[in-house]
Amino acid sequence: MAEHDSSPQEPTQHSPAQPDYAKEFEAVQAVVTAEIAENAKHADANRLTKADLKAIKF
Amino acid sequence: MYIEENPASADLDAESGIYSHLTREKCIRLHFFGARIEDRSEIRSNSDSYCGYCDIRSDGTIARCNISRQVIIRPDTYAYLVCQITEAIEIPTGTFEKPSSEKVSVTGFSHVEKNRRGLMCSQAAVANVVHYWNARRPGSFSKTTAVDISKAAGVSEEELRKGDFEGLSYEDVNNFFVQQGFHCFTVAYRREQQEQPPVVPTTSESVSLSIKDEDPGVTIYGFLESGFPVIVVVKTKKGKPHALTVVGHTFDKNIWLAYAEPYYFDEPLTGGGGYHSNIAWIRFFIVQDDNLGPYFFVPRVNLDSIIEAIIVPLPYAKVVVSPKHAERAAYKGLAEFANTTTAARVIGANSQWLEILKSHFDPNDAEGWVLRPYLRLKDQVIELFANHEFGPAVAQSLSQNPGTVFWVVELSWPNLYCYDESKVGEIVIDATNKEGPVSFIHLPGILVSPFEPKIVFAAREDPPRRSFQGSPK
Repeated sequence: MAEHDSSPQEPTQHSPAQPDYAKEFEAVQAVVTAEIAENAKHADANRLTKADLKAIKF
Repeated sequence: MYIEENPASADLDAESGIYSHLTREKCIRLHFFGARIEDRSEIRSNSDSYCGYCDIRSDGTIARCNISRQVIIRPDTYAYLVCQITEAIEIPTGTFEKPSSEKVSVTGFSHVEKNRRGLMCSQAAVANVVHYWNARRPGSFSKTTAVDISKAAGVSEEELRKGDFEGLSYEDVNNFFVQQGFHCFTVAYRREQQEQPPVVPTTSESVSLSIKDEDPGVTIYGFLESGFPVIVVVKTKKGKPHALTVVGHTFDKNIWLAYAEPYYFDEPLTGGGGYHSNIAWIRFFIVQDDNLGPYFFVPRVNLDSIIEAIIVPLPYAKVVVSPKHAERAAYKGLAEFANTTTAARVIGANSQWLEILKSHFDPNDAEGWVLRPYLRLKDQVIELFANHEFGPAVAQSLSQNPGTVFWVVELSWPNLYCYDESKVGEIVIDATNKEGPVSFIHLPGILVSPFEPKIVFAAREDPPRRSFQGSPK
């Protein structure tokens, strides 16, 4: 079974305080969200009209 | 080959009812075998060598066929027919007085040829997808013949008969799938020089994107490798769009250009310049072309200049994140996470694996990273970790996650990816959520998630493990 965060990885007497992993995860989440949003902006700028959707046949 | 005259066929029945030039009793079914069949009595003993069938209209065109790759693609090629289905066929072998039949099966992908009248490439491509899903999930579609598909899309019998029908529109195709309970993910690639914006269906049931740089390969691959046939619409010289059904791809681990393009020619890496998208090793997509035939190899790079749109009919939840966007975002997210103080807490052998991974990050110093996206349902993501130390944590985390469909983006480096077919980690992105979509990140020895347990360190070594085998030969 995996070891959860309650077990320190470096159990030394002078271990530093627990890093704020939640904060770091949120930073990653923000990066991913921003990248997807950046792509979505281009999609929104290029929507086809309903007329085009009907007109183009194949 | 064995010729069955006037075979039972819903396609031939429907078309004969519409087109007076077709003579139903003159339609035939060709059965292909790997052995020589001179008499129907030889079918039973050779049923193992069955390679497929082809229903021929009385005008000589193909109403429908399903042919094994053995007929066209040599077994020693590097082709992966990802979207194959196995179809059971019954061949009449007896006489009128003593009827009997032999059951055989073929594994391949449906191919429908246009009839040069009312059935065009759009209906052929839609029919191919319908046949695939009805085999994968029986009963998915109630309309299965090209004629019934056309009618369901709003085409009248008169239009089908006239001979000048131009095919279904994007809206017609989308409407058909929505009626049948599917969702179309559509990406448009129409170019500025045509002074037309990309195609984006606007119904609430469909989702479309236009991407800023024209590289359809990742999007096609992401869906295809996940088991979803892709309809690709390309521009022809005459200006009329043409639909192809993408059913497979090649994978060549020894391909020179994957390394040579950036090394010798200063070409950007396929992943937006920063990393290798796994399509660097994919030079061809395998397509069904209703004009030319099944299992043609289309060079991936040529699609860039001719593609107009991608339509992916999906049988479940609304996917709003494309594989390409998931892959690009995953790269940035993983690069960020690999250098956090949280990741630095990984120790021992897992720390070494993590350092090796990080050492490959810069393609100028080492090989660069390889990213590979594929779509999975929640249970399937859990299954990916079934034998992994993190399996229980992944299951617990996803049980709290409202998402239902996820992009799993695998992380590797070229040698590991190509020659060991392995990965060192992945980021899992909710495909139905653009706001905060990261469901969890797994790198050697560590798992982080927005849900409990939010962070888990491995007690044992977490070495590279087998990549997802989404493309059986």
